Amino acid sequence: MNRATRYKALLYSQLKYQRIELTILSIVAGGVPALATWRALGSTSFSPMELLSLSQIVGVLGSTLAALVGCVLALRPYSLDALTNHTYAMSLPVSRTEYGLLRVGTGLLLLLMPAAGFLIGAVFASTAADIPAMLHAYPVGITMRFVLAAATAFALAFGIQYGLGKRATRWILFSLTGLGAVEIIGQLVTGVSLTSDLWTALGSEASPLRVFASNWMLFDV
Amino acid sequence: MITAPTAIRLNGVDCRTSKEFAIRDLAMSVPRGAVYGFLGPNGSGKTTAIRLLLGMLRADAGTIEVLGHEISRDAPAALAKIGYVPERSHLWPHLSVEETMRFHAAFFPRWDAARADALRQQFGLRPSQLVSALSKGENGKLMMLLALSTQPELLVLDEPTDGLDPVVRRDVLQALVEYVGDKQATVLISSHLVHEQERICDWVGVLDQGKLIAEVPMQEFRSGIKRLRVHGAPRVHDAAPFTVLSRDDEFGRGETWVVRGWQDSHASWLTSSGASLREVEPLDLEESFVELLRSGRGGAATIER
Repeated sequence: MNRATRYKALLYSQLKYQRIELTILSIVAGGVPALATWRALGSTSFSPMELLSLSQIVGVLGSTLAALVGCVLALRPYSLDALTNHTYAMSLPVSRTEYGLLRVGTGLLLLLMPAAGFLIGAVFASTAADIPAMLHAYPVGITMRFVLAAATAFALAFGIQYGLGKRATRWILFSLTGLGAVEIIGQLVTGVSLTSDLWTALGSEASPLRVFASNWMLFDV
Repeated sequence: MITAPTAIRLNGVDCRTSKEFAIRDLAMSVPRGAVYGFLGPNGSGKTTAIRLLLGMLRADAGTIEVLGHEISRDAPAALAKIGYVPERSHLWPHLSVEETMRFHAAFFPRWDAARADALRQQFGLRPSQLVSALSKGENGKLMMLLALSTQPELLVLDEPTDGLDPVVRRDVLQALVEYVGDKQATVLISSHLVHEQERICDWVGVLDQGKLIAEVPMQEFRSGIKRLRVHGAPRVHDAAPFTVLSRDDEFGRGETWVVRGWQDSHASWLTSSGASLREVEPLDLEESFVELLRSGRGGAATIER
């Protein structure tokens, strides 16, 4: 019995388990780029600035949706495993590492479903909109960004959930409370933000989280 | 003492699962080909011991060897040869019976599709039925089907018939007995249903409060524990050639002793101690089990005078 067979079996199981949420996410992902054109469709007096501002909305919604897709694909299968106290997963004759890698593989492949929805919506928006001469549409580029952002969210959520297990929620709450306390104490005692460097680092060019904040424009110069 | 080849061997295993409960210095051996009854009251550590030997829990100390594989290093190789039925259903509720069988087949290299299909029909399970819609009995049957269809060398069954009605219980046990007869597989069956164990097991291990307090062939367990009615019993029995599990005063009419390892020739020891043996009564398995637990909990062989 080879790894490909095991992968297909797990992929089928996860697809069936998450088919409803994946369908909804794919439809929503397709609808997000269409937002950029819903006002512009059929319009002849469409200004470049309006298109750019609508494009920015696509960016915000797209990055948020990508984060949601990544988290849903990482966390929901864990909840399925946890339903039986991981007994089924651990009674299968594969190492924990291989099981984890199979779950990563299935999650990353299924992530392409909402990404495909996003691409279809982006292509539709690009062709439907009457784009001014100075602007260009980037449906493939923004979809690539969507895939990268979703994969980043998936990796983070998967690592935290499978790494910490049941303690994940407790640790996340503990960390957020700690950060909040440091910030409040810093503001009250010294009058400066003690966590600003952390946020700057997380949003810097070197941070993987940068993908959520950088250029998410469907239409640009 | 087991000298035959062993299917399961645990040695000096410690595992703390909570502040209140720990497996302590657990040592057990299951001979190959045996049907080993793992007895113990609820909360005695049977499920924890099973999770340890399947590699689902990591031991704090000790060694665990299953079918020649050191579990801490090579659990997947051992699991490929084990059919496991847990205490509670572990199957994914969103899959149908057929999908569950296909999923299982993808992971177990020795999956026997023909046997699986025959068992499915024998158990009356519909292929399209979702696991979430199965009754407790049907779930038990499906888990037994999956365990038997992997052609295991070892079956680990954790309370497999607990909560099942008599008809389903009979079907499940019959399928088990047929498989074991056919393949000479080893079975570790955990239960607190003593009479069920008595019918099918040839070895018995008794676990209480995380410790194995007895491990003997069933025949020895059944015949070796007796209730004696003794008149003029000696105060001290340390030198007795048998183990005294409990002593109870019969209000001046002598004493009742429950002893382990009794042989008829031991009557002479009592006579030489100035006592007279009035009656030797065999105990059934359940009574033996209860007496063994009493002695293991320190209530044994004490008498108020």
